[in-house]
Amino acid sequence: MGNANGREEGANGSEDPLGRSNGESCGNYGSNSQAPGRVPSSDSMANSPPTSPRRSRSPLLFAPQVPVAPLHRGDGGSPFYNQAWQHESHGAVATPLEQGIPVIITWNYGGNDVAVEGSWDNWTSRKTLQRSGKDHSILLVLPSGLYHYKFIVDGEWKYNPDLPSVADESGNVCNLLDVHYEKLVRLLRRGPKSLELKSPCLVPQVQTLDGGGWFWQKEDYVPEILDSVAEFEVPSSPESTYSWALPTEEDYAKEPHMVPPQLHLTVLDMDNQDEASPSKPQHIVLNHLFIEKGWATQSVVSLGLTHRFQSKYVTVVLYKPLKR
Amino acid sequence: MSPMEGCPTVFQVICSLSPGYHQYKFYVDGEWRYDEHQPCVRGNYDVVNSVLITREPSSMDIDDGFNHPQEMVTPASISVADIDVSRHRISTFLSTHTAYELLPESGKVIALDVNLPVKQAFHILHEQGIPVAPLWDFCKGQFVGILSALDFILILRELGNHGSNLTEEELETHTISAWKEGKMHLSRQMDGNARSYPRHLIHAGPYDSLKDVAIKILQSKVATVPIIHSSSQDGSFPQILHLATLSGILKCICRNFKHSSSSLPVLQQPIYSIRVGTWVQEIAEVNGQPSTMKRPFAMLNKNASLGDALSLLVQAEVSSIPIVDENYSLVDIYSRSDITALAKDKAYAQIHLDQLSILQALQLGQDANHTYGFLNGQRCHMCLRSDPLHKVMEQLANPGVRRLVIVEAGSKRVEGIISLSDVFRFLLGV
Repeated sequence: MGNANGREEGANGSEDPLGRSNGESCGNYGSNSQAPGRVPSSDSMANSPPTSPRRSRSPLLFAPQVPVAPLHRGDGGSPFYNQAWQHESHGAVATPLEQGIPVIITWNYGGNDVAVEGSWDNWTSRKTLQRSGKDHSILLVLPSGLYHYKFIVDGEWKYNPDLPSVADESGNVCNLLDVHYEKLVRLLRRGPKSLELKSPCLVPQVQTLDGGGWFWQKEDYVPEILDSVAEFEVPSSPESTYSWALPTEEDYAKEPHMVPPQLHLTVLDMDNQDEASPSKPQHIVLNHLFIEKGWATQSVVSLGLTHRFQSKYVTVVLYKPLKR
Repeated sequence: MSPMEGCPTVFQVICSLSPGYHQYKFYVDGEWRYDEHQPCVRGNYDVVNSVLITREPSSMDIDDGFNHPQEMVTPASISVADIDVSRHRISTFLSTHTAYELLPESGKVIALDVNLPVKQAFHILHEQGIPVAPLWDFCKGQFVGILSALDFILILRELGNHGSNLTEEELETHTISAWKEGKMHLSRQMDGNARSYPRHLIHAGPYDSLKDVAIKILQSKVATVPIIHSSSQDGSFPQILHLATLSGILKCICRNFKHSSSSLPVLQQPIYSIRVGTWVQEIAEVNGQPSTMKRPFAMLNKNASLGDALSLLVQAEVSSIPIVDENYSLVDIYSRSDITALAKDKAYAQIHLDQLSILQALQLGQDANHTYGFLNGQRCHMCLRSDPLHKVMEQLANPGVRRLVIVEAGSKRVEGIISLSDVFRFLLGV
């Protein structure tokens, strides 16, 4: 909807409807107003209207399935980028970044030739932004840090007043780009569904690649509601499981199944001396109740349980008397 | 300044200065810097180091470079404003962080059923090397209390004083819950209105601020507060997450302010001048503390018996007693948690409290294989009266170190004790 408006109305469309749709898209990182499988335009540009009344929205750039050649990229950006698209096809969670974080820099105020120079390479190289209508943008892969940058629009030095900026003593103003690296984990998202987020997302200063199934959140967070994520849709039940008979007496006489070997990897056996805290337990042993070996003959038995509380793990060992 | 031999990162220079108050600053690789670990003041040149040269230059210690002499004529006074600033900063820090941060990434808590026999319970405490354990009541489905070393001490004294009016069989099966009932009854008989043992469990939630947890610990005079979380509204099905202690909170503070020690000026002050801790009578008077306010400092001669030690622990309401020789120099320290060493080999059944000397009792504990309370193989941790507060805090932040004995350098004469609760009372201004 925002798309259609943007394209039809062109420059300076009526503020209110644009404002509202901007607001919606701004506020909710998750929503993707594009229908899935939409063919991207050749420019692959989003439809951010030229005048954003609020902070500029991160544009929806790429449809999920179509890998698009990245825009002007810094050194080291390319191999990372292609690799990341291959990861997406596996639907796996990509490993946390060690090097650079892709960020988008946009210029929404028109102009024919827009380029950007910044402190990431000490103002040596000038990168031209790709154009789509009135909007220009570029994808850069930068290590985390705080950068200054400025636009060159048709030969003139300009800065974007909507974005964070800083002025120096002589009155020159540069825009500020704060790239965060704090245990960022990329989660994939497909289609129009969004991941419910409980913890707050990033600071708005980071312009990140939003469309095409990427966004960022802190590593600490383990998603609680997985229903809305497409990969986690529950598969339908196979038909054969509904025809099992109730267990009979001879079934009870049999030995119980072997404990899966993974369940032996508990932290309970470990002898933690003073501050050597036990290593993180595997998730497979969580929420299983363990009882110590040889419990039948003792008067006091110990029970152990490991569970997760937010992103920390707690092992509780309870000693209980056995009545004889 | 030239580098020291054998240690290329340390530089030294010898200057001859007239007695008096001097300020200095270092010019390192083109940058003016000051040493955060030495006394510093804010002056016309931003922050500078300061040194007070006494009238006898020969007593100066020039081993490690430009160091200030240990014996200062007058302790550097710190303004009330500086103390307030430090207190305010710490208070803000504690209020903005929650108890969740105290939890280790993968922690372990050992709990006991309240119907366990007391004897078994102390065996478990001893084997696991833990000083306290929360108590779980299956019928109520709640955590109802904490079993600590003080309980054991009281039980032993009861058995010692009144003989045993429980038969052997009953002693074996005397449960923790029965003991706790009896204890409440006893305390009501003995003190009347003074010091009443808490009836319900003092606990905190994972989202409570660190400041609340610290104040809870200080006000209820307990050592540990269990962090319990219940996902339902009425508090049913509680999960125990951690046993919070002041040392955990202190560790958070130290970690946070480690690199910005100039924001807390009070940390640079020697503990002698800011009057933290409990001092022996003579020093307390010299320092200007009214002696009537201070409780008598509890110390024991090394020939004292275990029974004396336990009585003193209970009456003086302290958690540890330094053991000294005739010259009052420190031999060892006996704390409440050492009592669990008696559980080894059921020693408590065979001993008579008055016949066992403290040192022998400590020997039992030495053979134990658990390392609780040990740090670098050392049992009693000491400090000097001139040590700055931050150094004391870093030592106290180690788990298992709950107190430092302040000794005189060289003779190891006991001058005082500084504990976690002293430090926190000072920092929070409680």
